[in-house]
Amino acid sequence: MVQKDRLTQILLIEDSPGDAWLIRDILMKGSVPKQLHVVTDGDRALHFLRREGEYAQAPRPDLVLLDINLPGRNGLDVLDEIKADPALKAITVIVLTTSDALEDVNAAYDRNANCYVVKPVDLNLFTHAIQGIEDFWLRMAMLPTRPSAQQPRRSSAKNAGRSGNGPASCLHLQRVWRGIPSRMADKNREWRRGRPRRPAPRYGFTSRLPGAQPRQA
Amino acid sequence: MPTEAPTAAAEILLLTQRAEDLEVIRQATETNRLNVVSRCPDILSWLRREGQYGTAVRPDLILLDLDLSNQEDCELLSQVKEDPDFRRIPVVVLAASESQENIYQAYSLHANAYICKPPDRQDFVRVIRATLHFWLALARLPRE
Repeated sequence: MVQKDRLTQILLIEDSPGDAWLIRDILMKGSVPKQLHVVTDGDRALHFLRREGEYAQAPRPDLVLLDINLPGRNGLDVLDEIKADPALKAITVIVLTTSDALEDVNAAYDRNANCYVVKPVDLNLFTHAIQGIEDFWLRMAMLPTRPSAQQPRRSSAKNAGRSGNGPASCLHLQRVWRGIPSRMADKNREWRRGRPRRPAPRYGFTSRLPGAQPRQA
Repeated sequence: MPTEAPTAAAEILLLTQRAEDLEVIRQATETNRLNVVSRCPDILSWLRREGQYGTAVRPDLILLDLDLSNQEDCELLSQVKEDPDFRRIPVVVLAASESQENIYQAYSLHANAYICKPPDRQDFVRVIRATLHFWLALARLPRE
């Protein structure tokens, strides 16, 4: 869970277009308002996180989903770089990979990965795993925001999603989704801000997508 | 929803000083084994199997009820996460504070996750259940 009134920024580091598409599809059907950025290798990921080159305007992600088997720089090397960099180390990194080798699991936790999730081969289990990540990391856990680097508020984030206040190379993969939060999330928000939440505006066309109904926690 | 094959009961190590929180967490722990200590130094003794904890089991997951504005609590977290023998064990911080400063501090010290304790008891049970479900059924945990 991040600050109210702004989109959760997620960086997906994934070289398989099929997996990236699927993860985006599942996450965007989830109820937490979010923006997803996809990069396909470790070097681009570090450029994105450090806002270098074409990523100068990239937002600081609240959550990173990191594949291990990447072209060029391996995911564990990327993890090392993130967790050794004082400016980046607080960012939550979830290793999301097909590898269920114990040595990879241990290596990831030794490098301070926040958690390790194996991508199941079965589609239903895959969906379940990604929804589980959303349920825990975006609705239960509190995510860090760097005190000196506040993210754009929702009003500007809305424009960001549409006009592309981000790197051109991942523009086509960005989408802004606003769903009505589930009752659980509503309840949490009520006690957080001490008054009931006004339902978020929802785009008409998206509400008819399958799976758009708020899920119970 | 399909679920994973049932796994062996997990060993959970909990640090809390609040009896009412302990009761809630016990209720949510179900079949997993919950080991409880109430003082910061006991977490390290448990992990190092010192003194009365000579036969302590290695936990699969550590839950720490911490206040990150307190120096001693910050030190405990960094000691757990800097020790090469047990730093890989996931640590979930349970805290009353929603302060961004504390949250950022916890993640900077390599807490694996930060959970805010809801004031409502039923919500708290649900949050703990969901947390344990994620870590014990969905995430892959490190092993020795």
